[in-house]
Amino acid sequence: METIEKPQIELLAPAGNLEKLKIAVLYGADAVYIGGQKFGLRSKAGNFTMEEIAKGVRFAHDHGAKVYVATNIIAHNDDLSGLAEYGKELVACGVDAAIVADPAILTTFRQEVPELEIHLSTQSSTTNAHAVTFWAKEGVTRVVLAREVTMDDITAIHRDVKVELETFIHGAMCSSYSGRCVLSNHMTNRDANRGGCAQSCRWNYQLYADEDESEGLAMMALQSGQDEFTMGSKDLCMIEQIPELLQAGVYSLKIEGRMKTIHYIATVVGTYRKAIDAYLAAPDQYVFQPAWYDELMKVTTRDFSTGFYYGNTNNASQVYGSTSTVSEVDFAGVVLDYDEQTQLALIEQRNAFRIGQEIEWIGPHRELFSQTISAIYSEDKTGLMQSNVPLQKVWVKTDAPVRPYDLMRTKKAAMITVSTAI
Amino acid sequence: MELLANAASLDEVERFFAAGADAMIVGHEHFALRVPASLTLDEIQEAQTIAKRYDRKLYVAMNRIIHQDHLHEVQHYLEQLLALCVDAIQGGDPAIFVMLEQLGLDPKAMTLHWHSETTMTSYQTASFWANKGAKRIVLSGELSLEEIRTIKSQLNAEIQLLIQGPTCLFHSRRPLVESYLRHQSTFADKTETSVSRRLFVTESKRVAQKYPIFEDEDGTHIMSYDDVCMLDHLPELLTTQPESLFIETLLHTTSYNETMIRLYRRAIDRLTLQNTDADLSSLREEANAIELVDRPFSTGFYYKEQIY
Repeated sequence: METIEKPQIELLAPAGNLEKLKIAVLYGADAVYIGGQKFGLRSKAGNFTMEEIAKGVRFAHDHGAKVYVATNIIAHNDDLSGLAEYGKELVACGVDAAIVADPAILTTFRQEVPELEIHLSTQSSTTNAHAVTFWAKEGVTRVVLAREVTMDDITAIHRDVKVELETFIHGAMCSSYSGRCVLSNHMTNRDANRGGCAQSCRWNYQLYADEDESEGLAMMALQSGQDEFTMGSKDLCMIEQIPELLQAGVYSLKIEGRMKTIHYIATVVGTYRKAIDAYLAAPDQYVFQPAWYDELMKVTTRDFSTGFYYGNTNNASQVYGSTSTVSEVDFAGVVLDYDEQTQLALIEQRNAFRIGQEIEWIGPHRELFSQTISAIYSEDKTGLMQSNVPLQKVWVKTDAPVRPYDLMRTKKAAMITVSTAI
Repeated sequence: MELLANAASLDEVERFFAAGADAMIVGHEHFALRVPASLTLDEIQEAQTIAKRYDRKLYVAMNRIIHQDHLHEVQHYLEQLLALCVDAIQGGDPAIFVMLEQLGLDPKAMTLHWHSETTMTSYQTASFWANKGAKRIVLSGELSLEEIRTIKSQLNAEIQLLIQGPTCLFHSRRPLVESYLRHQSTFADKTETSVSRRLFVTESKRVAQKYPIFEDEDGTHIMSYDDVCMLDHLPELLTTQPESLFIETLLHTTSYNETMIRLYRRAIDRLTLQNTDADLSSLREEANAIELVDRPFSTGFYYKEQIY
C-alpha cells in the first residue's frame, strides 16, 4: 500500500461521485469523504459502487489525497448483516478510514477488520474531552466533534486528548444535535438516522401559545405578514477564522455537501485551499483576503454564520422567510481540452451561455480571470451564437490559457441583461 | 417487572408511589434531559426516604449531552449522587464511564442505566453499552415490537420501554423559540419559552397535530403531538419480556399521571397475578375517558415500519 505524506493540516471535502472526487482532489482537498452503497446516511447522495470506490481511491492516492467512507447510520438489528465483509472490501480498495457513528459498527470493524482506521462521526454528538477519550480507547483515531462545540471547547479538548480532531468549517448544518432528531421519522415515517431525513426542520411551522391566548404568537405574526416559525440554520462559513481553528487544535477542516455540484466543490475547496496555504506559508504575515469570502458567496444558497464556534446561536444564525441569498454566478461548463494555437477551450456545457456574456474561469491552484465571450464553435468548428444544450460539447475562445478540469461560470447580472434584450 | 414514572416534586413522588409505581426517576435540569421539574440533592435524598418507606426504588437521571465547560460540575454531581447511594443512575454521555474510572469505580459494580435516546436501536449497540457496565438499556422510541423482541433475546441486560406519554422528536442546543421571538421583536424573557407556557407548533400540512415545543438550559425540545398508550396492548408488549415499563409524565398534570399509573398498576397486576389473557378493554375505556382532545393516544412505532 502506498504511503501518503501526512499534511500539516487536512482540508477534507465531500464527493458525491467520481467526478466530484476528482474535482475536490484537483482543487486542493487533502482528503475526501464519500458514501458507499451500504451503511451510509445520505441515501440520495449518488453513492459509490465498490468498483467506483477503488477507482476513486486510486485517483486520490495518485494525487496524494486520502479517501474516507461514511458508514455512519444508526443501525437497527437487521441493518448490520454483511458489515464485516463490507469493511474488508473497503480495505482491499485501499480506503484510508471509515466514518462511524454507531458503536455496533465500530466494534464489528475493530474486531473483524482491525486494519481499517475508524473516525467517529459527528452523528455521535461528541462534545467533551472525556467522551473523546472513551472513544479513543475503543480504537478510533479521529473524532469529528459535534457542531455544538465552541472554539474554547476545542482548545480544552485538544489539550486533553491525543487523537486527531475534525470539525465542520463550511456548509449546511442540522439544527438539532446530530442524531437526536426523529422529526422525519414521526412526520413521514422516514428514518433520519438511516439516511431517510425529510429535512423537516426546514419546513414552515406556526408557533402558538396554548389556551387562553388563543390568538397565538404565530397568528399575530401571520396577520402582520411576518415570517413563519422555522428552525433551519444558516450555513456555516469559517473562511475568516482559519488561524483560530488551527490554533485551537483542529487537524481536519471538513466541508459539508455530498449532494453539491462540482462547481460548488471546486469553488469552496479552492478557496479554503488558498487561505490555508497562505497561512501555512507565513503564519505571522497572514492576512485574510475579503475576495475569498466573496468567492464563497457566489455559490451559496443560504446566508452564512459561524455556528457555535463563538457561543450559542441566536436569531442571526437562523433562516427566516424566503432566503435573500441568490448565488451570483451560474455553472456554465467544464473544460475538457485546450488548444494553445487557437486559444480555444473545449467545454462540456452545464448551463446555457451566449456570445457577449460575462464569464469567469476558475481552476486548481490559480486565481480566477474574467472575460466576455467572443466566440463559440460547435465540436466541428461551426460558429454558434450560444450553447443551450445540456452536456453539449462546444469550443469557447479564451482570453488566457485554461486546462482540463477548469470550470467556466456565467455572471447572473449579464444573463438577465441578455435575456431581456431578446 | 417494574412500573416506572418520572416525578416533578416530592409530592408527586409520594402520590405516584401510592398510585402503584414501583420506581421513580427524578433529576435536575442542569444534569438530566427534560426532567418534569428539577429536584435538589436534598430533595433527592428525601425522595429516597419516601421510596424506602414504600419499599420501592429511586433512580436519578443525569443523561444530558455533557459540554466541555460543564465536565467538572457533572463530575462533582456524580460524586455527590454516588454518596447518596440511589438505586440507579441513568447516564447518556460516554464521559460518565471515564469519570467513574477516574474515581476508581467499576461501572459493573454499580447500577447504571443507559439512555442515549434516539440512538439505541439495535441489540448490537445495546450490548456494547451492557458490556461497558450498563445494567439497563433504555430503548429508542422508534422501534417496532419485533425489533424489541430481537434486541431483548440477544441482550444480556434489562430493557426499559415507554408505555405511556409523549416522546421527544427533536433536541437542539439552539434557543430556537427565543431566536424566533427575537426575530419578530416580541421576545421579553425566558419564561415565555419554558415548558409551563405550553407552546406548540403546527406544520402547514398537518395543522391538526400540535407538537409541544419548549426551551430549557439545554436548548429546544419538540415533543410528539400524540401520547403513546399501550394499556390494552400490554399482553403483546409483555411478550418481549421488558424489565421496566415507563410512563413519561412530562406535559401532563399530577392527577392525570396518577390516574394513568393506577390504570397500568391494575393492568400489570391482572396480567401477572391472574392471567396473561386478561381483558384490559375496561381499563382502556377508563384511560380514554381522560384522553386529552389535543393529545390523542397512539401506539408510537410499536406496530410501524419505517422507510429510509
